[in-house]
Amino acid sequence: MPELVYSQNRERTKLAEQSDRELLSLLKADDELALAELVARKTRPLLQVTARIVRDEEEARDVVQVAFLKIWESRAKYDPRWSPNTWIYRIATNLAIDHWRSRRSRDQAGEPVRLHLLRAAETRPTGALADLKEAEVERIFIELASELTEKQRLIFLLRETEGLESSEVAEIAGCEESTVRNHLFNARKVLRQKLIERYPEYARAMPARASTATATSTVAAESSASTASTASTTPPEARP
Amino acid sequence: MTCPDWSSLAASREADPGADSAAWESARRHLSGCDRCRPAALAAEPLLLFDRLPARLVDAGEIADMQAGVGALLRAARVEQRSLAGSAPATAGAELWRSASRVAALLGGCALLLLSGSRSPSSPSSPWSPSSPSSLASSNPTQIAPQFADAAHAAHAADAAADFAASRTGGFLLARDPGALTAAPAQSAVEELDRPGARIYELPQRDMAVVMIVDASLDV
Repeated sequence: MPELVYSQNRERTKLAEQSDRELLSLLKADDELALAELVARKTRPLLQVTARIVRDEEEARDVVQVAFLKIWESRAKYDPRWSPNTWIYRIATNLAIDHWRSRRSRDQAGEPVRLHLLRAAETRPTGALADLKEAEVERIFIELASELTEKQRLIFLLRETEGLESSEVAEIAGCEESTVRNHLFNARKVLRQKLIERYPEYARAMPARASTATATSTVAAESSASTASTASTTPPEARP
Repeated sequence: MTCPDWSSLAASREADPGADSAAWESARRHLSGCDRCRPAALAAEPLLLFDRLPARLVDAGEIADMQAGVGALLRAARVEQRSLAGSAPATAGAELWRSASRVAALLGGCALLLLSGSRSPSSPSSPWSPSSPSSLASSNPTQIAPQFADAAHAAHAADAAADFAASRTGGFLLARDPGALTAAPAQSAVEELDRPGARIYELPQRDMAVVMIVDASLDV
């Protein structure tokens, strides 16, 4: 009887049981099946985060494909002491940010017209929280997140929507954990304010936060410019 | 079930923006199933609205598309590398090297024909133990040529020629050592046969092993 000595399907099944770190080690040994397994595992989270950075599903797919190619090309540089997730996210998010920057500079001239057309075509949510659809929440988030800096957006996404630890976020974003906390604090603050400004129908359901925001801005206005700047950009535990 | 105190939770979270306490996480889980405390939760932290951001779903088809796309990019990158290497100006030495390789490959092929019936291919003491699958996959004329250059090593050259022939004919390989593929069935051995449905069977016999590659989708 012939004996089955090799089957790609069988190899794939074996790979499915390996950890991410083991897959990256196999990748270093030029195993393309390990790359295919990595693609199967990481496509969903990478698509989610890159789509929210580049704000376009199709472009996010391209970015993720290139990210996997880059992972393959950089496989020799991977150090097994690193967290696989951190390394993979870092490659993908850097590519997404680069892509977003190049597209933004390309589209800058037509941006106001594009935004106007986009808003005109959109139907605003009805205002009832219970009726708010997930797609509408996504649209609101994309719109408000455009008010954040690139770093703030990246850190907010990784921490709040991907649920990564602050230490992981710090490694991916290439900064200290204290910087992550600062960016997170400011990102939340900006998003809260913009949410209340632009979607008062939801702000009405949030009287406590709206009044807190008003009080904060009054205090800030009364303080000197430097003090106000410190108060608005520094999280509480970092303040003197 | 009692609803959590969202105001105090939000305040303590704000005090340390980098770390979400277990209490906060537990309250969020509670919120996902409790409509009663939603207004209080949103009042304390409006950004809880974004807890309803849709999770990206990916089906098997999309993953297959992604794998195909990544595979295509890999192939394109390899073709580009080869074409860049090919477009390098040929020196006289390289030209001489190429001619020598062709002659050596021809000699090797002849040697293979002469020797194919006279040796036991699976002899464990064979000095021409088969190349590893990975070296097979990377075989190319310029790498093999030095092995052919010495006529005194005709048998070795014959093996290399067989390996080269196998690697150049779409991965169809008659294994001379029955253990060769079993020992290291790396996917690179069938690099040219990168098909999920392909299976390799081995029929061990006394003097030689017959290896069969079965793939219904192959157009031979």
